[in-house]
Amino acid sequence: MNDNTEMQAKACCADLYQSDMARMLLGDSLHPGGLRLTNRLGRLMGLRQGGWVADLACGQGTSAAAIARSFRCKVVGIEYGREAVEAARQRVLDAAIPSDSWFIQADAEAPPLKPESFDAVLAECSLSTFLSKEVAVAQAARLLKPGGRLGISDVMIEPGYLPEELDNSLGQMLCVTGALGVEGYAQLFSGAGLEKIYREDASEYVAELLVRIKAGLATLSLFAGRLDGSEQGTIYGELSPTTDWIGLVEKLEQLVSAGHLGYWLYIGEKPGQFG
Amino acid sequence: MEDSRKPLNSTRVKQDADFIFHEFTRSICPQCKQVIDAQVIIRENKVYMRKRCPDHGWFEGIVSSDAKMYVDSIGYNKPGTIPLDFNTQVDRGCPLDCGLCPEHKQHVCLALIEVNTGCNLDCPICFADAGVGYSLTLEQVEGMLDRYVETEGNPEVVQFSGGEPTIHPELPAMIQAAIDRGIGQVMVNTNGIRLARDDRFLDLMARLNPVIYFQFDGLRRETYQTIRGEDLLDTKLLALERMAGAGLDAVLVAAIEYDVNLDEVGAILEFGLKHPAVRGVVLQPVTHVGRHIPFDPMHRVTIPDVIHGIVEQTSGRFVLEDFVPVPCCFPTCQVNSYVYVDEEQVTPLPRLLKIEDYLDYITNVALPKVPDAAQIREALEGLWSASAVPGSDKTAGQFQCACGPGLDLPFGIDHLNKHIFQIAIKDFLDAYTFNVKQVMKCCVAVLVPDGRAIPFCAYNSVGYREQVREELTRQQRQAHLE
Repeated sequence: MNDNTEMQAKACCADLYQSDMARMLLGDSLHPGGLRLTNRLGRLMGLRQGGWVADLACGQGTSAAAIARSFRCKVVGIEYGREAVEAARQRVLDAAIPSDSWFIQADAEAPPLKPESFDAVLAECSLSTFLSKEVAVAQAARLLKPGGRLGISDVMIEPGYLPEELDNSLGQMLCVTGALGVEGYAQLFSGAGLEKIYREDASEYVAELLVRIKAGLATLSLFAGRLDGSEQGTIYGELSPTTDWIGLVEKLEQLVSAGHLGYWLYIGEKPGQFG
Repeated sequence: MEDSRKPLNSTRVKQDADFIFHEFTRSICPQCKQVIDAQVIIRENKVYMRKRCPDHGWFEGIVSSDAKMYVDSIGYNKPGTIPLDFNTQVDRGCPLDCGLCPEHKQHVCLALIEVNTGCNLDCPICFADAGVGYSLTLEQVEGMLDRYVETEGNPEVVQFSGGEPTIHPELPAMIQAAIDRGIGQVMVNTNGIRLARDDRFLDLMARLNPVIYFQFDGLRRETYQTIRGEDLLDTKLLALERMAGAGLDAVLVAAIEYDVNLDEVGAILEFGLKHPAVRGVVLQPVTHVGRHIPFDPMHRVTIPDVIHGIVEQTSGRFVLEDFVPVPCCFPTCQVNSYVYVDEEQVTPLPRLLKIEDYLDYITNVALPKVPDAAQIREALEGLWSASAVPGSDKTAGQFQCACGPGLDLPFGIDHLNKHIFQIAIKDFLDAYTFNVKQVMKCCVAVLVPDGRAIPFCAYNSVGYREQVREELTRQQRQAHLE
């Protein structure tokens, strides 16, 4: 079974996100668009007061709590990482403003939730990390009430365009290694029987993030000459300081402007009328 | 009646005017607020605005006490950024179509939401003329934030103000709503009384962690007596101590007035540099709008007076060149400086690299030939911006990038957050200095519930504040009756 491999992959991903480098390069918001895009998804999914929402691979629950408050709905977050779930629960307790959000430690690809009981299911930048995307989307669709909506945001890369320098942890941090093309996500949705599939290009948020990463890398290069080996180790991690990382980011920027790399939103509706 | 005929033997010699005609612009009449033509002139190295209202005659007021500084700053004017959407159409012309109209020259770097008009003080000086009026609902504020996100895409800063926002029972939920919408940085503009007295409120703020834009006018009791109508010094010091204990970052905001606290600017700065809660100071010459003490428009504090005050009162720690105009708004509106503080050592960023090489866009069309010059310019633009918030990760990152070549800084962003100190000097316009040219590029806007974002100085001087207040107060009264 792949559980272990996947858990390791996800744990590795989480470690990366918490590293100083990731924070410096990506800033506070780890996903392109941050909560601005979460709110956009919420509006597109038509979230309403009192509705039930499931958030698959919810991390530390930032989006789940924000959605619960902004749309005044009830959100169940599913997350594989035990520590993240504990952190999410603690954050709800510590929050100044309460939110109707609850967190369960479970595999988001097989969520232990009641079928046909959710008005919306959300998966932000997580489908690309799932090993079996078809199973994950089918499971998400199963949770929806008839008329309920699945909403995702994710990295899009057209097949064959992943630069080989990114077939590593940096690529993982940028969520490009497991990403699909524009049609790939739409096919996943229709394959799971979802209808009225709507897609929206949010690639400007990737462009914004790349500008930020470039400025961060420029800073690293300014400092690199002054550091002794050990410090270099902690800052660059497994990235080689001799590689032209700014050049790589510029290559990614070119892919974005050519439309081969981007960040997209998809909404699909489960057929049937609720009630 | 005097005989107008001159004796024939007088010599006819042409006289020079006693001023340099600098520019022609538009302004408003300080009495009736109608839009009128205006001239900006330079006399004895000082800048004045002179104008005539057909109904109320001539007016003149000082704009800057150092003409060289004023004229030199103009090169720091960078191209504006166009917002994603506008809320009004061009109809009557600037400044009567606010906000923003498609002719505006800049997006909003910093948005203000005045959540109420009520206050727990009754200061003799208050540009917002706080008192009886309205109190926004959470739903109204959420709608304003949504519109702000729509027009900006990536809104940078929202500042909750009033009135006194901390007495609004829904302020914490409003701050949370801004955070939940992904707005980069949230600030609360407050007199600090509630932070000094209310444990539960302090705890709520500590959890939400907005930057506290803290009114702090000086270190003398008489200063508070004059500006705030009561001695608030002990309350102010207690509030700061409690903010430090709760881990809240504060920016000291002082209203500067001649013969009141202009001689305290150095002391305020030195105090801020040492205080564990303080990440910056904002020194604002008193704006003579709303409530103010009687003033002479020819004798008011301007940006150079504050800079000279700092230089003279900090015993050589700062020099004039440490203060650099801000390019995102019109560069005569604000100057900033940044310092890296480590114990007793205070290093202003402008000593580490020549900021003008990057931010004087008109003199220096080409960037300096150093590696990553474009990224350094970008980082400096972030710091020299109305949206730069001391204490935020973003500002720390920009400082790190900008000062890279000259200062061997430790890497941690957290470390920088606690060691970077911002000094901002901001001169708002009043009815005597109101210059349409500056308002057209203003990047600080007041959000109102109908979705408009009205440039701050237009909001205060042209009559928008009064209109919005009357309308919201009327609506609220109506809702109450139904």
